[in-house]
Amino acid sequence: MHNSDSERKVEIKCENVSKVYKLGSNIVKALDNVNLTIMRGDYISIMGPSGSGKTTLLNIIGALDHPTSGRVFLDGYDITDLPERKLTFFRRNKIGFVFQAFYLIPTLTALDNVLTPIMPRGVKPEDRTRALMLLEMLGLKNRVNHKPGELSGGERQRVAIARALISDPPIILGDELTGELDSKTGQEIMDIIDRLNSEFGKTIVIVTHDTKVAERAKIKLKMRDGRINKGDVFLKEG
Amino acid sequence: MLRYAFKNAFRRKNIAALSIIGIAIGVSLMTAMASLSATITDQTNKFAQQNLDSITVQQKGQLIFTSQINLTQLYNITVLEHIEAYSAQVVAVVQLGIGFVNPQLVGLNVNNDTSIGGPTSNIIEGRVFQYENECIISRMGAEFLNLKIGDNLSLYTPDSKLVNLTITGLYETSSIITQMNIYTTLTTARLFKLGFANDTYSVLLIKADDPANVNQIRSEIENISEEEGLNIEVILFEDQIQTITQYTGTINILVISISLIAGVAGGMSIVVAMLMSVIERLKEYATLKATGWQNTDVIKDILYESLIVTAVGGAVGFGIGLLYLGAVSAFFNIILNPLQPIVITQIILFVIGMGLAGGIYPAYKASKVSPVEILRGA
Repeated sequence: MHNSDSERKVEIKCENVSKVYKLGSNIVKALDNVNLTIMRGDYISIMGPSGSGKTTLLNIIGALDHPTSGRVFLDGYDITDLPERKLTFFRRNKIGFVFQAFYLIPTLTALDNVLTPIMPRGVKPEDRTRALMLLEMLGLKNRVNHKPGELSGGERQRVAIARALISDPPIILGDELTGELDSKTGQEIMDIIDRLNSEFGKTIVIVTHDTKVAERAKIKLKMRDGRINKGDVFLKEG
Repeated sequence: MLRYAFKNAFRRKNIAALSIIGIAIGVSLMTAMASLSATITDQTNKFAQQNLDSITVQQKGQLIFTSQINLTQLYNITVLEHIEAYSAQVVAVVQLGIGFVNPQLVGLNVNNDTSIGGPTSNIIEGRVFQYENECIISRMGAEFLNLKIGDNLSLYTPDSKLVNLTITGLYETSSIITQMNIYTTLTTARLFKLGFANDTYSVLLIKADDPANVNQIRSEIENISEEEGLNIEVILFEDQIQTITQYTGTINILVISISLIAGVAGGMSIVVAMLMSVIERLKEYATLKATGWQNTDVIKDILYESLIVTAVGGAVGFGIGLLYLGAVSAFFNIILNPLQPIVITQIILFVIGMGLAGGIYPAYKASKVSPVEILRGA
């Protein structure tokens, strides 16, 4: 489904990105001069031990956090120093997040949960139709009016995926998205992620500890001490 | 978004219920006080409208029931231009029953009183008195004292003579001051005023042909008084209304003070409820922000939730206020209408104010949630 590499557009680009945290009197370098180019339609997994900087990198390319130094480009726009209000625009329109713990609203039905990202701007009938279509596509046609408490873990994660897709963002970011699921359900969720990449051309970046999950990706990166290991496929330095 | 706020406003039912109770207490107090205040102001205004053409002439430096004036000496006043009608009255303070009620017994000429629009022109049940052993009282007075037409009032004169007066009719007046008066003939009233001759009265009530002329009339009366050496003073209704306005102003300050206290108490309950709700749902707000909600969206959502809870509390409080006012109206036989536009407006503004004030800090706190904390698994 992908275009050839020469026609593909750069989706995310990190140039010499570093992130430093201050934890009491200690300074922690979560990201250390990371350079990374992700093309539209890429399917990337990032593995690494705890504290290696995976989630920090995901936050920065997901417009949730600012780097301490370096520059970040999203769909060609430099988002490095954008204020929170403008970053929200990118999160709403360019990125769909899927979290390990789902983070669904317990009082809302599956359908309403899918619609939450667009609620502030008013839910139109076509949004509702799209939400229903997404839930149906993810095998939840008969669960649209169920609340999260009435759904299994796998169903909840599928609702979370539908929520991430409601604004039709080109990029899907997943942080340990199978972390709270058994291995069979985890594989089912990853089948969906595979489809999002292969059938719908979504750019996928997932952070995981699970080798089986990481193996699904076409590009497998490893991180250690805030750096991406050299030699990984499709990693573009500088 | 409102739908979202509705679904979440009552998520923790016990906390929501407690804050609703807090707000309801505040609003019920507000309803009762605002209604009382509005009723008094309304009655004062109505009374003022009806009496702006009224002028009272009485003995200088005396109260209405200690004043003595000689009508013959005031003849030149009664024929002044712009005076439409006048009624001279004899006013005495009497004792009813075992002495806990001391109304004024007012003697008057029915024709003269009717011409100035006095109580005899507002008989709503029965008839006006015709004989010396008859009287009329107000409907409110009759309900308060549990009296009806045909009942007798037993009154003792200052020289200990028993006078029985039969109630022949009930009048209605918008004035709280005249609600407790007993009206009878001049002859009967003079029995209670030792030393009052046939041309001696307590007050002379004058009705001007136009409210615009009352100051001119006062000026002319004062000139006559000076020329003829009369020991009288002229009181315009607008002078009296100033005193009444001062009283109603004091009541309004009391209402505002109690409302403020109630508002702070209700506001605190909603702050606590919303704060607990927000702290419990910080991860949700972080997720919503990660999925595209702006800070202003989070603030709006919490303010909506706060307003929804306060609106419910306000409605419950208004209901309690209505019940309370109904009980007060029934017990004291007074009309208290809480559905006046001013009362409704005050309560709506009060509830909106409380909802916004109570929600603003929790909203601010939630809007500052960092979505990064969620992805870190915090």
